[in-house]
Amino acid sequence: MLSILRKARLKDKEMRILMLGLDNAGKTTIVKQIMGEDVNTVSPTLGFIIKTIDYEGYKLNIWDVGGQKTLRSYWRNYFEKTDALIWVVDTTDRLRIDDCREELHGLLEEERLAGACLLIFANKTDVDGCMTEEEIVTLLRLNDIRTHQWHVLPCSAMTGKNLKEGLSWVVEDAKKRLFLY
Amino acid sequence: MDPKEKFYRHFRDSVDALQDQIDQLTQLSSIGGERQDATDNILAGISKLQNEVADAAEFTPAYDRRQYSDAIKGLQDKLNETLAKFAPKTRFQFRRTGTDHIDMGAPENDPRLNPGSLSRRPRSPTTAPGAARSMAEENRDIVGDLPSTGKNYNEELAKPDLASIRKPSFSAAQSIDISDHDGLHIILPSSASRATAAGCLRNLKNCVIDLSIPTAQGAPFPGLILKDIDRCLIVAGRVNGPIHINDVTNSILVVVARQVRIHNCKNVDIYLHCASHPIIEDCSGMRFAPLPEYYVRDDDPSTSLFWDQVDDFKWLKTSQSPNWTTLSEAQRLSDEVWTKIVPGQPGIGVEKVLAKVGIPPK
Repeated sequence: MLSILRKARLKDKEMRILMLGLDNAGKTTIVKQIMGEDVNTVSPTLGFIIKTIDYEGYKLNIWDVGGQKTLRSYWRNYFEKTDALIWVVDTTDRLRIDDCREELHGLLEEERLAGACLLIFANKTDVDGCMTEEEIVTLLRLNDIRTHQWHVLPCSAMTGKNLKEGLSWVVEDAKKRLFLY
Repeated sequence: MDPKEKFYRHFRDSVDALQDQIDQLTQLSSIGGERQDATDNILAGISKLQNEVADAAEFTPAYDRRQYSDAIKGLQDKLNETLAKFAPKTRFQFRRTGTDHIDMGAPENDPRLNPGSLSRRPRSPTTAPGAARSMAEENRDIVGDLPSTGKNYNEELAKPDLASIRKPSFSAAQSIDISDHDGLHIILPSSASRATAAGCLRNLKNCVIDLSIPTAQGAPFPGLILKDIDRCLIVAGRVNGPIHINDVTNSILVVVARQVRIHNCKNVDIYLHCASHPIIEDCSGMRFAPLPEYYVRDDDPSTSLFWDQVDDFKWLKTSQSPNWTTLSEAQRLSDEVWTKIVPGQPGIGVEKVLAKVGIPPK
């Protein structure tokens, strides 16, 4: 039933994208940069923000949910009908990379996210000394993921690098699955 | 031509060329790695020549070989001398309060057991050698500032040296990661401004730390993490991005950042300049004040200051959160504290500074 619904919405060219990650990963800044808004005055997200982006004829509803510890227990309220999960990683924060891995793998066990594809934005790669794509793959144990289609993209919310490419991967992956069913 | 003669000419030409290159080093800019490239080039040339001498050993007489190796050594010495001239002067200042934080009874700190060797022996790290201590050992005897290595200034700072002033070099450091110190007064020199990676201060007790000098002139941190800090006064400098403050207690912080997240802190006064709403989570006894005049820069936006608009994730009601308050003007530290006491004075130890700014005694 869920998959039929999902398919119907994909035909309407509408997608629901859930954006999660630890606090300070840069989720809201990524959305603001894509929308062409000011990225210098972003406050930490208290709750969630929904933005609709038109991309290649698709209507992308992006749910940007705050990443503070207090809010993480509410993430589950947003799982329903998610077509794509964007997990944002702060590549300058080596201290919390283990937390980051555990939160991600916990999410992937959620049944309600089972049909979603997974895009990992390795954010803040404009900063010197950040972790490389290979380090992210190893430290987050991405090769252990069997349940989801995943893709890593080094990006920068400040410069805008690779953000559009990320959306494009999400849309292409959704298209492919539309033909599969 | 005789191979011996041929090699001699080739060697002489190579040495001349390398010598010229070393002489030209002084004219190259250190910015953008130009000088570094040239240095690498010269080093490669010297090692190539060394290999050639080794290869030619079968037809060169012993006397010639010694001449060759002396010439190569001369080149290396000259290069080192030239590079040493470039080493920037450090402005690092250091003060010791007394001996309360160094256990002179411990064998590792007893000068009698290790006469003369004290200053060369780094103290072993007290915590697991994790990512924070991953900086490579210094590589100074070959090249002064190989960009791929940072010196372990944490070990240099922590050395139980008998001299009262230590000046570890931060000029080769790519990232500022000051961790595991107790009772030190640390003022980051302006030469540390080459560190362009995100900064980190961890596991500090009873310290006074000022990072404002290198970050004031155009080299702000892209991000900064403060974690596990007790009884410290920290002037965190400028952060052109987010600052993440975790597990800080009984301390005073001065922060300029775009985003501020504070978790799990207790009894901390924060003098703040923030371009967005600061947030606290699992905190209590937090007091906020605007940035002291002394640290304000002309190009700081005077509008949209959010120092007193704190969001508490543990208090979602509209009434004022009990976990934070603002410092009234009378409660704030005076300008004299920032201009005179924080930069340090002869004869004033860390404990005295901490007492003067109102951090309660241990």
